[in-house]
Amino acid sequence: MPRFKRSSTAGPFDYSRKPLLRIVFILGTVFLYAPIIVLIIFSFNNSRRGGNIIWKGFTTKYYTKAFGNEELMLAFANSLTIAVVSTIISVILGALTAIVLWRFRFPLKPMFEGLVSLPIVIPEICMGVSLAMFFSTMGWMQTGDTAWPFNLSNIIIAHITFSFPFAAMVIRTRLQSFNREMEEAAKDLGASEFRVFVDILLPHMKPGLIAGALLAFTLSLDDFVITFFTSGPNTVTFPVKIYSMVRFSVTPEINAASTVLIIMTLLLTFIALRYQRIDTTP
Amino acid sequence: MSDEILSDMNGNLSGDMSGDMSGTIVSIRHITKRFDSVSALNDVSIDIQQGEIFALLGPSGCGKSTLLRIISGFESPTSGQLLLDGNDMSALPPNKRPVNMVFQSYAVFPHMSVEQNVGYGLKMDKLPAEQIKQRVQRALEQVHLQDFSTRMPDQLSGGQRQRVALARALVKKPRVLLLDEPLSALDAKLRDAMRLELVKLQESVGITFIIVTHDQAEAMAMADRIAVLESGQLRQVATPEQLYARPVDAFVADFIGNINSFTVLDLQLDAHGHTAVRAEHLSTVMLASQDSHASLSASAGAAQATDAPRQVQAVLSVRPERVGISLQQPADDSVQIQGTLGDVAFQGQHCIAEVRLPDDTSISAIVSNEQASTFPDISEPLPVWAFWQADDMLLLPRHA
Repeated sequence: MPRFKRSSTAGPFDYSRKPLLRIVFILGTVFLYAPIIVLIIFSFNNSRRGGNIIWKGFTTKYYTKAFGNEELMLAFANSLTIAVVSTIISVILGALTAIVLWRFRFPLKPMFEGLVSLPIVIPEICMGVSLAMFFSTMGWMQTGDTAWPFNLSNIIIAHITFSFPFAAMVIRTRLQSFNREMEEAAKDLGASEFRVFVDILLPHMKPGLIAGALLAFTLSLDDFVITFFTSGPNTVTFPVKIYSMVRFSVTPEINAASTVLIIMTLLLTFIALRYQRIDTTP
Repeated sequence: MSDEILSDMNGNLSGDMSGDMSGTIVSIRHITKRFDSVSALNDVSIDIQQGEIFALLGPSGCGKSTLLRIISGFESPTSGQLLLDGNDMSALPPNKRPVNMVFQSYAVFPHMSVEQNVGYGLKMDKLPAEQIKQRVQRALEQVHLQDFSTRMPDQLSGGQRQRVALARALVKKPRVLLLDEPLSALDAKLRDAMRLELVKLQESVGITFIIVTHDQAEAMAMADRIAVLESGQLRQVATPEQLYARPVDAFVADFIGNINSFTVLDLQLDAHGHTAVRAEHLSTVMLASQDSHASLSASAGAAQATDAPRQVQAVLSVRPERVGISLQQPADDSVQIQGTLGDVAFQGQHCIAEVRLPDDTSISAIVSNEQASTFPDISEPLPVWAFWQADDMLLLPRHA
């Protein structure tokens, strides 16, 4: 047996037998999840004021309070709307970009590829400032009298600019594994270019589209910096609202609202993963 | 075209075509294909007959796959013409050509069931659902997959996936079915079974098959006729028997089966219809003259005249099964060569014995198991004679 010890025959939980790996594993888990668990526990804390640090008994009243907080709920609705719209547009743009980069050769392609992924590496603060300046120069800054979903357009545009490169990257990686004979087989059977796209390429891209959408959605939902720079007085998103609430006092209400958000994201991820059947056939 | 006409046509095809090779279905005329400056095919002309299994055979990179892709429409020739049933195909894209292909990777659509895969082509033709269902059912029966119609491809074995690819192409009732290395992805046992099955299937549907392969045994076993290609050049088109018995050059002879070849040093045609050939290791061999010998002789003469090294671009060859091995010098007038016995490899029904020549080259001979058992088991080299009839030798040109 020692001959095989180092090869890939190690079982999935073999690391738990190595002390060093066990420590790394425990530390990783603690730092990743302990704060989140504490956050959730303290959303049920019956504290009054003066910081939400000491446990004072179980209550669910802060959930009622959070759901009753109209400003918070509006911020929540804003965030979801922005996330949904920017995700849809990001995935479409990302998919088109990925197909172009995967499929075609054209002059200046490396430069174009670099430009597409630039928003990933540019510091968020710089993008925030530049977008704010761009919107105000163009006279697009929302003043407060625009009707509801349309007053979010600035933030949506800003979110698309930073989330679509991520979607494009994920989708392109997926396309890399596409067997071109599949496309030729469909054409050989009489399919037009459009039918090949709809019947063959799109189903293959589906896991990539879902992963890209998840990425874009979460990026948009919790973005603070860029949103802060591009939002107007009436367009507060959830992270911005939480930030302003924390500045006054840390109440379990914030914990409750955050817990709801965590559960929603988990649920969404779960649904997406269930939907995504991983194809192993070549 | 309505289904009746198609099935009628199919009926006719299966009735007449399996034995009768009447009429050219695919005509490849002077096709040249260059990728940038690299030439993949060089002035290739082949006529493929209706109802036959035709193999494009050659080592990898010989251009056989390119030729198949030109027939299917995925590549267009740099020059030359492709006719199908007498009609020029160059303007037709792959999805409009009445030919279908079984891809090397099978390219079965992973997100569709077996049924949906097979029906895809008919759906593209916008046939009514009822008709699609019937024809898919029939096609699945032809490849013995009728019980798998609702399976997904990842629940199938490699061989079953290939059957799906076959059914998917056959259900369209193409004029020609193209198969790109159809057996290369299967394991040896399954490959042999599938060979036979493909031939049977072809006989029952009567559709012309064009098979690309690098495996000469596969081509020999399945094809009615074989085209041998080498680096973009068409070397020979013939039946398997002709290819084996009468290869046109040293490349074909060596590629189709095993052969012992001796470099020709000199040859001369005499007035009595004989060609005297002098080759390395051998005494002068007298062969009955053939037309092809004259040009070889001329080139030999030319080489002599220019004081170039006296070497003719030709080999003198003999198949291993024509070579006998003897422990004593044979007394007859056969061609003889002395060497020592090398490895004797047991093959099952016979053995392949190796005779080592003084310059470390060797020739192989097929000997019976009985004779192999008479070879003494000694450690020092055993002197033996290899011998064969001069008539069994082939004088073949060799291309530089």
